[in-house]
Amino acid sequence: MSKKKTKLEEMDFSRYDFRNREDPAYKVSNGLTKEIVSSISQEKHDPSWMLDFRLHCLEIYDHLKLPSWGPSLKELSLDEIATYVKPRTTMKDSWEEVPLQIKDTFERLGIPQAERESLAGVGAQYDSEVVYHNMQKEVSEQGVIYTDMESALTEHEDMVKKYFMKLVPPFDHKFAALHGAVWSGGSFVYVPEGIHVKAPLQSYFRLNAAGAGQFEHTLIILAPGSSLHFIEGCSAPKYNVLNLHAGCVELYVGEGARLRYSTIENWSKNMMNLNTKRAKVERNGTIEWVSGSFGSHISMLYPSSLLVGEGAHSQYTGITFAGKGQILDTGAKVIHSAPNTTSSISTKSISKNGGVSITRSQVSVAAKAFGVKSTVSCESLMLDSLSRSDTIPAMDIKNDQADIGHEARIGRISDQAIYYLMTRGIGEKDARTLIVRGFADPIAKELPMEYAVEMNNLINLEMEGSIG
Amino acid sequence: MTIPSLNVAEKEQRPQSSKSNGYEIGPSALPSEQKRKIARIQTGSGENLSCFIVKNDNAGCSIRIDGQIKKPIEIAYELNREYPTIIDNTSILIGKEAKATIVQTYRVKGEGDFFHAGSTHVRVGPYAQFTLVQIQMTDSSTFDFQDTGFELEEGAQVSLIQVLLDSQHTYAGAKALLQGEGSSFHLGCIYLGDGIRTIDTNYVVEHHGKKTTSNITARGVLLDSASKMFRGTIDFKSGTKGSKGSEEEFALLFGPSVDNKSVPLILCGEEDVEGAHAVSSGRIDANALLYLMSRGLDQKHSKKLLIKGQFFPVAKMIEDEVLRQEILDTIERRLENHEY
Repeated sequence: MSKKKTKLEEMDFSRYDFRNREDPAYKVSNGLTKEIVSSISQEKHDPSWMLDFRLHCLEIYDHLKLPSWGPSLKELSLDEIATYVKPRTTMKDSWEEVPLQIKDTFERLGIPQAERESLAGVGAQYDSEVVYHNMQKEVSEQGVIYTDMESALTEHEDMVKKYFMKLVPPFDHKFAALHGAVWSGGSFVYVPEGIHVKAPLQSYFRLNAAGAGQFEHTLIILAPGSSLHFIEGCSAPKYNVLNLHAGCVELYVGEGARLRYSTIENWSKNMMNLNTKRAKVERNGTIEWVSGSFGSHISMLYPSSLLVGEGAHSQYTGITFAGKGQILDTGAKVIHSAPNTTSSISTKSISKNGGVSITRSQVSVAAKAFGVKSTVSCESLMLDSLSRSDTIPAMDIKNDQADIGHEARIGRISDQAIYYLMTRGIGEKDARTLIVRGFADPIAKELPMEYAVEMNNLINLEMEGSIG
Repeated sequence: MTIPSLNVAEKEQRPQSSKSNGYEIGPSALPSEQKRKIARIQTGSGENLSCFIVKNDNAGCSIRIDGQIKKPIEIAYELNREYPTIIDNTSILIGKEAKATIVQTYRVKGEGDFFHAGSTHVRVGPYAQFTLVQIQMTDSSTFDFQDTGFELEEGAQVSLIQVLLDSQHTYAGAKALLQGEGSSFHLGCIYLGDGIRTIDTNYVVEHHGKKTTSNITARGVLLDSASKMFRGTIDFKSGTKGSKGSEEEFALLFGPSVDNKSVPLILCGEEDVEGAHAVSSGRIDANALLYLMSRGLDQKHSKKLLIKGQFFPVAKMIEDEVLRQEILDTIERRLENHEY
């Protein structure tokens, strides 16, 4: 009798792979020129300083080269990407006012339901603009600001000008510059001192147009002693042409504040996901990253934490699933710039059916950052020999009072572990299910229950055959 | 960087030709074609350094080992006023089922600026066992490049031990291709950097054959403003089923201005393998220190014991007791002048 190997089905993206007829109110032509950037700025009624900023970013973009490491980005041509697609609606604060086709899109994705059941506020972006934004009255009465970036640019211009692309400057890399030139949509959050937002805020990004880009900007500022859980989700239907996502997330965590930033990324497999996320954490502040990367054709994503205040803490928990046709190059970075800061990075990856998973980590400890403690753990599960899994950690320590530990493992599902569970009376199929789900469990338990269920639904498991 | 007396071709340090039961050293030890093939074995520091060494060598030799050699073969180099530059190029062929240990030592005598660049290429035949020990006990005026490459056939077992203690600037590399099924490679490196010494290492193991095993272990101490870069790569190629590879690095740091970098990679294109790596850096374990002090040792002696213990797991791979003790004595002497 031939042995059948443990089998893990491909990710089920069917619930995301639906598309609406494209009917934009305005769409720039493909490519990236000064005229296109200016037209985006004009369409969005930017203040003059933002137009100047966009054009400056375009100059930087033209000057910078593509990264010399990581997956090849040769397939990507900005000449084939429309960087701005405006949906035929303005932003609403009631789902009833959102155009039916767009509303149905988000209904299918479960966003209005999630808002009713468990969220303090929701922002929904369709192509290049936010089409819905709302927040619970009691949360806004606490002084919390949660709005789209365009409204923030008008209503809180000084704050936006102070923080916008200061943490991720346009010269950081080529796609940061691109983002600065053509950004649109995204969310602005401000939580006042001492305020704890009990339920999460969520922004959801849906890219419907083929051959388009989404460049949302998320800017979150937590005043001292405050706390917030922010969730972002994203998806797109699959096309035969490339789409591009080059968003930017900038998080400012004040003294003693706590921010959890969770992401479930379900981009379609024609998406180039070149996102940049960075947090700056002040004294005794905490940033928690929770990340599930399941979609995209090519991803380059490395959330970074700058720990600039004494006692600041960063925690990163992430899982990556690379299937057929995917190259997911993900990881995390922590820069310890102050004494007695701590960090932990825990990553898990699964690769199958030719998928390529690359996990990077960087822990840097500055010369004056005494008393730092940091641990990094990477586990990789390969389910066949068509796939690849690479682990590339780096540690750079510049004083003798830092305790740094790193460990990584790579391998297949353990036959011994399955056998052990079976000796305890658990059936073979259940044993395999238990082990594989357990692999993803540390990530699932960091998410609100609905999103943990969502994540488990994304990983459809089918176990068959004998051990191994 | 000025290389002293580089073009003095007549000042060569080559071992005397020797032939005995089971081995031969000298120009005729390897046929030209075989020597050329072995010279092309990839090394850890890359082609540029290899080409430089081949073009400028004034030392080194060819070695062929066919039998079971019980006593280690020592090749000793000395940098001194007469020979301030040694560029050694060595090709070694270990025959089927042969067994041998070769010890390459580099020492300095007298004062001056010294330069060493060495490249050793080794082909290890089926079921052979080979140990290469490379010991750098030069001094703080030396530039040192130590580069090695191995190709292992079926069932071959190789150990490489690198002891990097003294040079001002040390660049050490090694690369092993585990071509044959069941071959294994173990690398142990110990390093000690103080003052403004720099240590830069690059170790690569490629698993090609099935059921191959590898382990890279690096242990060291950095003091003062010393800097170190450790790069280790375990690369499982597609088809290397049943293979296992691991790497670990432990660094003790004593010095407010040390610069410690580690990049331990695992690259994997095969499902049925086990790969692991672990890195830790920091000061002496407080619990271990407390334990020793509770046994009556004072703090200074307890710390010294723990620091010397950092080197033991690799030092004990050196079978020659006299040589091993010389290394540990050198470490102890260097540590005497430091507070930790």
